[in-house]
Amino acid sequence: MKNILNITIAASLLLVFTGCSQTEFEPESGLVKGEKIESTISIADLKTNYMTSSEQFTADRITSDNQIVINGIVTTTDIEGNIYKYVAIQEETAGGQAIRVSVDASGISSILPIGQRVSIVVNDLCIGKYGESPQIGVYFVRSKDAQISPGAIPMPIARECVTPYGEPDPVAVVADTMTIAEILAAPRAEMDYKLVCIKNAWFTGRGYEFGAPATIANKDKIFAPGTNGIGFPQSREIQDGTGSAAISTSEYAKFAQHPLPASTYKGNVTAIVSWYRKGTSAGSYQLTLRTLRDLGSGFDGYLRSVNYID
Amino acid sequence: MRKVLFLLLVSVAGVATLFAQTFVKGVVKISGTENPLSGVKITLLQQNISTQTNANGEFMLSYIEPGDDELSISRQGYFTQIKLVNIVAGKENDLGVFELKVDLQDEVKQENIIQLSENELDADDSGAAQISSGNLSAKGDVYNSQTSYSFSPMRFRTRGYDNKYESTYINGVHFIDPERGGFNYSSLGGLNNAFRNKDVNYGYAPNAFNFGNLGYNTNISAKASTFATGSHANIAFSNRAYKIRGQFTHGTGILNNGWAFAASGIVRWATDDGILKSNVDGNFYNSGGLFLSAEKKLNDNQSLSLVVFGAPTRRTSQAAVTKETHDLVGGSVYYNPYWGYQNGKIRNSRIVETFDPTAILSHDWKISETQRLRTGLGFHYSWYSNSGFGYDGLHPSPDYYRNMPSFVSSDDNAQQRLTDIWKNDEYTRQTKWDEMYRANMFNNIERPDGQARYILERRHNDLMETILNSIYTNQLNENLKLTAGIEARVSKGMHYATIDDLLGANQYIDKDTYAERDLVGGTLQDADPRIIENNMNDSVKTKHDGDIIRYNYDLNVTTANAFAQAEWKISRFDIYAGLKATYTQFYRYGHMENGRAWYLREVKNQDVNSYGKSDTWFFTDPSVKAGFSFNIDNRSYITANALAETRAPLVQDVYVSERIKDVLAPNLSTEKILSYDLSYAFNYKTIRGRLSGFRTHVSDAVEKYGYYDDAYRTFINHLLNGVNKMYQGVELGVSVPLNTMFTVSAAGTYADYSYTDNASGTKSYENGAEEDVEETVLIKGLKVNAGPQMAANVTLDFFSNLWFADITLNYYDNNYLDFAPNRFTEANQAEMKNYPELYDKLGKQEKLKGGFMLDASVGKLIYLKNRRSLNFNLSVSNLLNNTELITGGYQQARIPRNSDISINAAGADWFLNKYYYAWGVNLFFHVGYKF
Repeated sequence: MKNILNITIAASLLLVFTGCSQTEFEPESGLVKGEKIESTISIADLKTNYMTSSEQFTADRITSDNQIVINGIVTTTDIEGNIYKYVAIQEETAGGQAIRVSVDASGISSILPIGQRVSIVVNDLCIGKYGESPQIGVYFVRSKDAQISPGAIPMPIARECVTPYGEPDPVAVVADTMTIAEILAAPRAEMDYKLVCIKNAWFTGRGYEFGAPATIANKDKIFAPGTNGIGFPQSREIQDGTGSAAISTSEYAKFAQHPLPASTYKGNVTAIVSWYRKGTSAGSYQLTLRTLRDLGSGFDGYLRSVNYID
Repeated sequence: MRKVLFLLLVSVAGVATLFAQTFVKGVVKISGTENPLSGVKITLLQQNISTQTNANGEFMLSYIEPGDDELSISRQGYFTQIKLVNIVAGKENDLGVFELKVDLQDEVKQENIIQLSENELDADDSGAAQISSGNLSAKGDVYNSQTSYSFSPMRFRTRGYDNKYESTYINGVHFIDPERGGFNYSSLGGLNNAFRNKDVNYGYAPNAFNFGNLGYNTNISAKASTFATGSHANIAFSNRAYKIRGQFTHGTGILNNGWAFAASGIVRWATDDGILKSNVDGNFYNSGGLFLSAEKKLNDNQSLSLVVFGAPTRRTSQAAVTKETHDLVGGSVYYNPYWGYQNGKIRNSRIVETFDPTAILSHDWKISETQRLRTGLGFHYSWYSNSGFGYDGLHPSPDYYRNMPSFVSSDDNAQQRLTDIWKNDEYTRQTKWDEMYRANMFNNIERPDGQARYILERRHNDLMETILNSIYTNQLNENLKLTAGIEARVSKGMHYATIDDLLGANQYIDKDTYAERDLVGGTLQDADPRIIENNMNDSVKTKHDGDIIRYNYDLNVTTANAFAQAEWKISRFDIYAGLKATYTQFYRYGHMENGRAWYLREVKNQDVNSYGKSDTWFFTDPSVKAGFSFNIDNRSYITANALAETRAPLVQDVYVSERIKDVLAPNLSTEKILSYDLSYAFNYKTIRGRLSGFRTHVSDAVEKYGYYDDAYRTFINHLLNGVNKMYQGVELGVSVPLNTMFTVSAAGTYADYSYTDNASGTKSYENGAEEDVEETVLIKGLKVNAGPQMAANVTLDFFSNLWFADITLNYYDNNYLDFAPNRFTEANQAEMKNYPELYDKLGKQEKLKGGFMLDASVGKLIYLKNRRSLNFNLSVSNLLNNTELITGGYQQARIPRNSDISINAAGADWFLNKYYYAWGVNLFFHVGYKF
């Protein structure tokens, strides 16, 4: 019996020390560990020097014996699904430009949030145009029609060439206040993927087709009705008294089904500016809300009416 | 009814005892010692009568026929002996002392099977095969013993039968997973010494403890009196799933007061780093087990036994990978994407936690010399959980298809760059804990009350069951034996998910993020926003570590069965027949009101519930079996067996989406089985073996598969019913003793396990509120995923002067990967055929490459003074280091599609099959000491 007792005690102790044991992990600090790499070229010069093909859909390889680096601050978030698989970065230098960097990752803002400063080594990536809108990506040929464009950079490559440094600083992301008229009049290169804030803007309740306002049915007076999976963004007109522009929303945005703000709401609209032109159409700017919170001062009542919680 | 039968049998038995009897008796000892050996199975082969030795190694068989017969003496861990005996009528035949030689190789081979199989147990997404408990103990029959150990690394299944066609008992109590079928061998916690004593029988021919099943029937005897008196300690080292194992067992034998005690403890250990590092990268294995057994001999005819055991275990899993990934990581079969570094420490995301405390009370009553009643009551609680990521950010799998070179086929430059990164950068290949924490911390700042970007969740499948078994045997006379048994089982399976670790997030909001995407951009745009709620009855949506999330339901199963069988001896024929009736009922009980189910009920007017008790479903199933054995010349026999039965479907297969609703599969019916086999067995001095042919028809079976489909952005349950299959083949095993030192044994099977008809499929979208879709699945002609359907091996055994050695060459072929039903729906097959290259890659079932594997082992037993002994053993598997052999895996269900749902032919390489590869050269070194 004594043997049995000893064995039982010993075995019980073993159980405690084996099956139940586990490694304790310290939480990661969350610090961004990268170091800034100094720019060797501005975004403007990158476009000028390397985006050489003239078509509307292009992808030109960035090749050089030297390291080519751009820097900027992330101005976008995909948290509400309206921005998908890209980040826009804005140079913080005077007169600096912005550009879209396509990354093949939904949820990219989880690691590149608004206000994250990044250095990007662009060697061997492509810079090109999608509907004349400049982007950085990899070379991509669409299988169904052989259309060339900058494709989304696979995450393992993105991790190699995009270096975040410093803690995110969303306060440093400041939209440039402009009227619609000023946006339309500015050189395109300066406006591509720029974050702007339009004051005293309102939704007219109309859509936008082929670069011009268009009447839509009452049931479609939401940000983005579904497209049965085709996936093109939907445009809704805003005005600010100086001009008319299109707010472009994906049907996959979390606020896609929300009713458009009544035209009685007038206030600040912050948006990313981009351009799209295909074929012989005139082309037009699209304004993309990052989140519904981009409807700022003046839209508070509307946000309450749709129970918006960010 | 049972009482009447019982009284009838007792009465008949009383009359039978009046006749003169013939007995045989003897004693079994360990070869080279005076130590008696308990728990040895003694069988008169021609008469199919068996018993076991007691604690003193003694046995006695009564009510036997006189004349020449063969006596089989077998026990796990010892070489089986078969002796020709002459039994004189009407007297007590004392056969003297038999000495059994220790089989040192046996134990290490068991370890081989356990480690290899457990590695893949948790691949619940892939329907990976579980270990067959029969594999661990198939002694005696040449074919079964020759194939059970050696073929197990390739997931070989005898006759292709999966676990639900096998039965495992412990002390006469039937342990089976009532939801999934089959016995979960890992619940024994590696307590091999405690559970070594097994009685294994193949098929539904009569045995001592149950009606029989298609495959192996195993009864583990863990009663204290069957343990050898003394202690046994051993330690083992390996370069497999665990690196070190220590085991200690002690048995008291039967004490003067009629009590016997036994205890066993085990520790199995591997770390994810350092000297005890597991062979698979990033894996660890921590397990401790304890076994206690007490038995009281109440009088000469009755004993009571209590056994309790449990083995809390934490271990990790390895992922199946595509060939592309396999090649990119240098062909390493030990690559595992589930782990990554967190603050410099290795952390694995897939941690399995199991604990199966079990108690078995059993009563053995020798009513008379001819009658025996054995009753067992078992209680079993199983905690099983596995961890995995929930996410609302970047896909957490390093080998997600969009991260692989095959995905960027338009850009050679990027493809090469990605290839180089994969080959050279460990960070790319592994889980990125730092990114997840960073994402959650950014999110905390940006949205303090928002949804966590990443969590580690734990998916629980717990089980509580109570089982009662009772079996009555009566040797009515020399020519007639009756066996009757009953079984009852009540079980509750509890299925839920909890938050294991918030990974630094403020909280998790319990809503279905997949459905939410549909709600805003997909097919649910006009739906009520409440459909995204996982539990509409819970007003607190923010959850923290340990809280239950996503789903919470029970599956309650009650079964009962009764059987009776009779065995007759008529001249040179042994004939048997048996009947069994089984009752099964089940229902689901939901603890959450799921928003998708609520929507289907309230808005779409469907008969769907997720909260509360579902309807109770029940099935009544008959079984009938019969067979005979014809004695040709006392050395060779012809046997034939046949079985016809119906079976209730397993509860895991009957609900189309049991996590969220109680909807049953359409047109559900019982599974029908018709099985028959014919064998020729021979046992001559120069050669022994068996040749068999078998065929089993299974019709109206149900099978269920689950997978996540990015294209539809939902988890899909794909249920097949009306599944018809056929298992057929031949098997041959022979053993030839060359001389006193060498024996050559060989075995081979050539079989065909196929689906014989197309099946009805039901696709159920777990994350959306879509209606279930029914569509024919074209599986006719596909092969059942049952391991190699052609396999052969040859073994050379050496034994001399207490040295043991063997070498086995195995060959495998006709091994087919499991198919994904989604790839075989009528519509998908037709659509894929428009793209021949894509169809060849994605639209067919893969036949895996065959190959050879060489195993060897050597051991030495040394007897010391005072009945002590020491043994060493080294076993080496896969000596040829054949790591290109694929042991298992699965076909991915997804089909590459464009945003408009048309097939994207450019994606033919994105969703190729995923594999498990054979481990390279691996060894197991074992030192044991008995004292």
